[in-house]
This record gives sequence, C-alpha cells and structure tokens, in this order.
Amino acid sequence: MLNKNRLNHTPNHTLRNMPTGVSIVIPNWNHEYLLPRSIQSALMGAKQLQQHDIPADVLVIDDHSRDGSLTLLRQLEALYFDDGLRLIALPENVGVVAVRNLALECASYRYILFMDADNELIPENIYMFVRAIQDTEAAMVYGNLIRRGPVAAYVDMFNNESFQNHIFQRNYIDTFSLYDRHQIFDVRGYQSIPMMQSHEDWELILHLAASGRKMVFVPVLMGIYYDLPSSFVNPTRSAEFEFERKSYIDRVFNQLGIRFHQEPNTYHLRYHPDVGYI
Amino acid sequence: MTTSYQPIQQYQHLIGQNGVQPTSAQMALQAIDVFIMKQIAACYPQPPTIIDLAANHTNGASTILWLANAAIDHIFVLANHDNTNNTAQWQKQFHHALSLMELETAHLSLINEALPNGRERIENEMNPLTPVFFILAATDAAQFESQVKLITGLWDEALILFLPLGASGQSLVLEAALRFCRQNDAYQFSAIREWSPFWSSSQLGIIHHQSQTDVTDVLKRIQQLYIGNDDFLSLLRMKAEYQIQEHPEKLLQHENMLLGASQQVFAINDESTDSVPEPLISGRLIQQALRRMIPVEKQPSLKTSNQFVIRSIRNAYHFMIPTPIRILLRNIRVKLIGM
Repeated sequence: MLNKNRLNHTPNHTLRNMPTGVSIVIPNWNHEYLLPRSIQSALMGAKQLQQHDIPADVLVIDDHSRDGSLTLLRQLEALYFDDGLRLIALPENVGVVAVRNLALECASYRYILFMDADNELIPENIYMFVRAIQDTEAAMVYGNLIRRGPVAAYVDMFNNESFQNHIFQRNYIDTFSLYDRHQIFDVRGYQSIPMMQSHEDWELILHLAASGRKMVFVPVLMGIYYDLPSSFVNPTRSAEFEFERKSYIDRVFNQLGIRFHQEPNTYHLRYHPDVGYI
Repeated sequence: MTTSYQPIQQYQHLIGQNGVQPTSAQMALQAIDVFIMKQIAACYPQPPTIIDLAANHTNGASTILWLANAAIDHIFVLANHDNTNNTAQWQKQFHHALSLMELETAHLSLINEALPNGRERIENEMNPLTPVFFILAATDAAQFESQVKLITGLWDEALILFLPLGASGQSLVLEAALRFCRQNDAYQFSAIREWSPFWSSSQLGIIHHQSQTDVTDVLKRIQQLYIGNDDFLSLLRMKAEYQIQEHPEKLLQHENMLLGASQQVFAINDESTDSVPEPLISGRLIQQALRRMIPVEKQPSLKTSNQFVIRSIRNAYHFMIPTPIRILLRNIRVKLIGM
C-alpha cells in the first residue's frame, strides 16, 4: 500500500542495489500534449549519459491521469522501451509527494533527476550535473533554468543562485534538479505537510540544509521551465495562510531566529566540474 | 510493460549473481511479449492454467512471468533434466531466487518430464474447467511443429503461445505455424505484431482452436489500450491547423523571418525600411517591378507615392484573401520563382 505521506520502509538490500547511474523521473498528471516534448528531451539526455558510459533511463509515473495520457504513454513505452523508457501507471491519484517518494523507491539508479511533464531538459548538459554531484557528494545539484511564459515575449532565467539564507523567506530553487537517492532516503524523502502544500520541494530543501546536507549550484543551464496557465493546480491562498506558513517555517527551521547568523554546510556552494568550487 | 517485466529483470539479476548469465538462455523474453502474455491471461474470462514448456530455454524466466502474474489458476512447468550444465544450473538457483523474490509458489508444480509423459499428472492436478495455455519456445522449427501436433492432439482447445516468431519470409517457425493451420482447418494462427504498429517488435505467435473466440476478444481489448485520439501525425496536423487559425500573427512572423533570409540572396538597394511585414506578397517585388518600368531620374519623386501604392495593395490583399490561401499562393510562388 503506497504511503502518501512518506517513504515506505525500504529494505536495505534495495538500497544497496543502487548502481551508479541516472534515472530521469517525470511525474505526470494530465499533461498529455506536453509529454512528447519532455520525454523526448529526457530520452536524449539518457542517451547523452550512455555515451559517457553512465547508465540512464527515463521513468514516467502517471498519477492516474484521465486525459488520455496513459494511452500515449503506453504507445511511447512500447516504442522506446529499449531506449530506457519506463512507465508506472498508478491505479489511483496519490499526489505529487507520494509520486516523488515512489520514484525514490522504484528508480533503477542512484541519482534521480526530477522534471515535470511540462518542462524540457537540456540533454547536452546533464553530464555536467552528474559530474558535479559525484565530485561534491552533494545531496542535490541544480542549475540555471530558463522560464518561458504563455506569451512568446516572456522569457527570463531563474534558479540561478547558490543557497543563501533568504531561501527561508521564499523558495527560488526548483525541483528540477539532480538528487542523490542515498541522502534523500536518509532524510526520509518528501513529506506531505498541510502547511507546506504545493511547496513540499521547498520543505525538503530547508530540511536538507538544516540537516547539514549540501545543495550545490552548478552554473550550467539545466532546462526550460514552461510557465503555463493552470499547469499547477493550487488554490489561492489568503494572506493569513501565507503568514501561518511563514510562521511554520520559522518555527521548524528558525525557532530562535539564529538561522540567519549561521552558515549551513550548503551556504553559497557553487561548483563547475571543469573549474571546481567558485 | 515496465511492471510486467520487472520481476523477470529481478530474477535474471538474482540468478546472474550465482553464475547463470541471461545470455546463456536459448531464448530471451522481450518486455512487449511479456506484457501481452500477461494481459491475455489477465483479460481472459477465467484464470487460465499455464503449462510452461519454455522454462529450460529461458532459464526459468518464463515461469517467473506467470508466478508474478496473479491472474492464473495453476502453473505446470515441464522442465525435464536434459543433463546439460545450463539446465542444472538455473534449476538449482530457481528456488533460491523465488524465496528472495517472495513469490507465491502454492500454485506451482515442477514436473521433471516432457510431454506426453507429464500429461497424467497435469490432468490429475489441474482444474478441468480452466482454459489451458501452453508456452512454447520455438527455437527449432521441426521440434516446434511436432510439439504443436502433440499438444493439439492431447488438448484440442488449448491456446498455444510461442516465440520467437522470426522474420516473415525467413522464419521456418513461421512457416511451420502456417503449414499446421493450413493442414488443420480448425486452428487459427495470429502474429501479435500484426495487431498494432506499437507491437511491431513482438515475436509472439498464437495458435488456437477456432472455437476459442475469447482470445480474439481479449486481443481486441488489449489492442484498444494502444489506440488513442492522437497518433503523432494527426496530433501534428491538428496543432498546425490550430496555430494557423488562432495565431496568424505568429505565422506572419515566421514568414517574415523566412522572407528576410531569402531576401539576402536577392538584395535590393532600397533605402527605405518597410516596417510593416509583407510576408506573402512582397512589396519589394512590386517596387522592383516599378523601378524597371520607371526611368531612374523619376524614381525619387515616386518613392513616396509608390510606397503608398504598395502598402495599399498589400493591405487590400491581406484583407481580401484568407490566410490559408495566401500560404498556398506563397508556396506556389516559392516553387515557381524561388522567392
């Protein structure tokens, strides 16, 4: 039975059997028309890694879509299975937290790259991130993302800062990153917390930082983030709720208000595999 | 496919750690074939009884396929010891792998005999009301043909699933299957790869009695899982039509870009920069034509007026002619005169 809130207990032999390699994980929920783009970029990324003798596959987890995604995914799986495309179709909708935790349990390789179904990976650069995470032994590495809005003229770049204390005020690091499964398992993965709904990735980042883990910024373009209308179903939050969330974050991660005077292990870590720490 | 094939990958990994390499199997099971066989059993009106004659050829992977599939009644594995090193090896590792994988084995019977000798035990143990599936490894055409004749002689309504089918025009197994069905009108042959373009890599074949209409219904059900509204090309066409109808300005921008690129080849010495895009009928072409007609000394005074004329003609053109027809005219123009 899938536990929606946390990682199920994973036997040690499964953890031991995590060969070095990369699983590119795409959670999908009703993004049928955007899937070909994301899957194609992911398959190209996997191929790039294989050319560097790094095993890789692409795992799509369909969270009980109702828009025809599953038919398309079956077709793509039949066509690209030998290229490393894998599909898990869930029998009920469990939410993105449970899907990501399931990916942490089921993925074939040690490193996981999470990307959303409406995003696009830059395949040529993924090798840089793998080198970076291996060199730095970080729990997570992330890079620049280009954000494209619904209007063609709207383009900007984000995700391009190292870990700094103002992340406790607002999240600027996207889930579209490369993770070390060992370390994410050790901190118990994503948590479904009502106060952090739709920001579980932020909660994980704060938790990793508070736990002394490293999150390293790599100044390389990782992908394209498409900011589409209604791509993220999120009820409008009141100012009161936002205040309560901020209070929650302060209480959990910064109770005595000393966080801003402390530099966690991950503070300002920037690394390029061809240069070193910057 | 992924979840169907995972138990086999896990099994191969476990026995591989103890010296039984996947490459030592005479026949490899593909993910698509595993998925379809599993789906056939799952969609059948009743859970079938499986008689696995392919275990030796697949190092036990064919048995794992069914043990990991909950929708079967019983599985009989006829894996006679043929005194080869390989057979002994996988059978030795088989039970150990089963315990590690925590698969239910109460409905598994291992019979160290070949047909027809194992028939009596099978008939004593199986539920006679269940449909019977035979799994054959068709690695040798002559042996395959004799096995099919033997099976249909013993169980005339059995469903025979066999692989690999081989390539059309080259495969002796395929010829044998067709020959058998020609000689025995009551039996029909299906190649799974012919049911769907997404199954084109499948090596699975089916021989069944014509009274077994369930198998055709089941295959249609599974085929329907792979039929969507948008089969790539239709999706592409639909999106292109949508773009033309809903966002003509984007099309104009694209045309303008193409025109700009082509105009580098036909450079026009014109000081004026025309800020209004003219993708489909080029004002510059009209200018060029006018220049050829009007003497050079009179051209500067006509510059302003002919620009007005050109823009008027262009605006009228855009207003009167719908975009799809303008695109068609442009394509004709490009083909005819290259600009």
